[in-house]
Amino acid sequence: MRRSSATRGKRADGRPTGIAVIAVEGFKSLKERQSIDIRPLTLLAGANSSGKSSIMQPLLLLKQTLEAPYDPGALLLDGPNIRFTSTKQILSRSGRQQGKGFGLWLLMHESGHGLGFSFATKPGGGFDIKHMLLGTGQYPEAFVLFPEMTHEQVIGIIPPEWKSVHSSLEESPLGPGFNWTVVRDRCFLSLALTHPEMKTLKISLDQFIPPGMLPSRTLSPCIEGFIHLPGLRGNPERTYKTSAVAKNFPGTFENYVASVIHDWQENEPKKMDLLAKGLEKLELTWKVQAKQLDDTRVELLVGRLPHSRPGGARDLVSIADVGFGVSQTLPVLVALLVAQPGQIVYLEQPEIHLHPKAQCGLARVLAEAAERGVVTVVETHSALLLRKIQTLVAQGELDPGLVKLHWFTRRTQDGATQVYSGDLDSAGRFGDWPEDFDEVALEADRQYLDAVEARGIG
Amino acid sequence: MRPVRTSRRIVVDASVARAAGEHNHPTSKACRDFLIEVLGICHKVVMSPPIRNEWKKHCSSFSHKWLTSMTARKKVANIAEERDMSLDCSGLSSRRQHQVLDKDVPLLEAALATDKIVVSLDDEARKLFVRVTRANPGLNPVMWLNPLAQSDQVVEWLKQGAKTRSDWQLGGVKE
Repeated sequence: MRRSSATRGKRADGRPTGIAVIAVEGFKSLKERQSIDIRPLTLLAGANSSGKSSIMQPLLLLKQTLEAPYDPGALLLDGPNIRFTSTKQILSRSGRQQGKGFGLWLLMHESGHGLGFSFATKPGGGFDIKHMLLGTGQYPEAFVLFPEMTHEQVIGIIPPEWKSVHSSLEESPLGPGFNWTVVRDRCFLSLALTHPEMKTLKISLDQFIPPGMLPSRTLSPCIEGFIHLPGLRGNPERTYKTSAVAKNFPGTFENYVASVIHDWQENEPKKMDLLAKGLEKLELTWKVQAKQLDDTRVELLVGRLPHSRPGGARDLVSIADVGFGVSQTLPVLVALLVAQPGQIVYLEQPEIHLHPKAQCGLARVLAEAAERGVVTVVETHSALLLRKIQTLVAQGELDPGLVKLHWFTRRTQDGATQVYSGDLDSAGRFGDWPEDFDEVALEADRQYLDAVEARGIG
Repeated sequence: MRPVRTSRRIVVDASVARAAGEHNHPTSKACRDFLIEVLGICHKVVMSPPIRNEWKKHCSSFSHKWLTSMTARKKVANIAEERDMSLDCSGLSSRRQHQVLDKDVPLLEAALATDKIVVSLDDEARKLFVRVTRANPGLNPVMWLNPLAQSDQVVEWLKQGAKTRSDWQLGGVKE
């Protein structure tokens, strides 16, 4: 029996987890503020360069900034998830005029925490945090931190519990004389207490406030837990480097696939079974095997045929010797199976290299992940994938409350992105869109039939 | 946002669905143009059980895709079958004329239950319905369009909100 959408994507204590809403402004084609709701199956569709990736890229910037082995400043522009070499490549343009910053707002499920980031270019290059908006959900007003804030300005805005941290230090043997200071911690602004006579002393607010009270502390694990699988998932290799297997996967996920499979072989046979079934459902292969060659390399072997046959257990070949469909789809299936409920998996065009029949099968795999509570954000150009998801809803096999569709278009006049969002009803219908794949397909059919008619061939 | 337009519920005969997938110039092209325009504009297609059955029998691949897309966009107005329509057809002379009329009565029933618009290639049925309007004045307000005969006007008419045109109404046609 299917669980209701109300019970999925929630923690053990019953509260929903993770990011509920993403809003972006001033980033590439997202000139004006556009926002998307995040559900267990969030679909981003629209034409090329319509801004689908752009709405997720600020999160990827946060991820690679938080995961960098050194402090790269407020944002690491050129990292493993997304590569920029200049702020100019990021900022929206209006004619010849370039923006000077961009904004990112995230609303969290936890206690209604909200975070707003305003990043501005800095003279030496790159971005700095101009200000950060925090909403704890427990206070009616959100408040804004900016780097140059004075002690008095901080006192004027922060919640009473935070003020008490200052009072308790003032009464300690170290006090009085402590001042609130705004400090940058990677891509976040936070608060610390400093003392003018003790230059090296900087007491972070984090040491006093429970993690659940601080929006940035709620967001960090969510961003670091982000599983990112880009559209270009590398060429199939004869061997893959070994990697750690944990809950988080820094960088892009394709680098972990071979080691995750090897780990499952050793420790989680059920996951291996689910993986094999998923691959077979897509008619790609019926078996996958990871063979550790030495301490640094793993080889991936796959069944040569899509379905098992008597004596076929030894009919395995290197993943480099089968079609691209297997090597490009295997990371998608592994990512969806490895993700915990509430963890976000961002898939860029999971359908690439897949036959239409397999694209339909992929819809079921995505639906199953959503039912398990994994939060999948899918950027797609596949009409079939969307139609199959609608069909699963209409057949009663996928709860429509788990699905959110966002359609991206670009305004003709200035190229600015506009997002249209919709829900599926119980019949899998999403309502009227600005333009959809069907319209394009019908137009192509019309042109073909008109052309045949024009040649006088009946 | 798209400009807000008036949404009208239009009954589309299976003859249009069939022709849209054929290579019968210029009829097929006119039908395709009409269907694509309806998809792009906010108008809806009306489906009752007998109309849907006719569509299933005669639907081309093109119009099947069109209807799927209309369904996905919540642009299909499903209505129950109306069975209480009785027409005074004493003005008709032959058995065949009665058969033609009977076949298309579900179109009229669906149109009268919605926005009183029928789109069909069947001019013979239209002429017969016009002939019986004197004895059945309830049919007068129904607009009956042929996407081929009115191909130069129908697209613009759809774009402008598919407003009532007395010269296309059964009661306004001069035979």
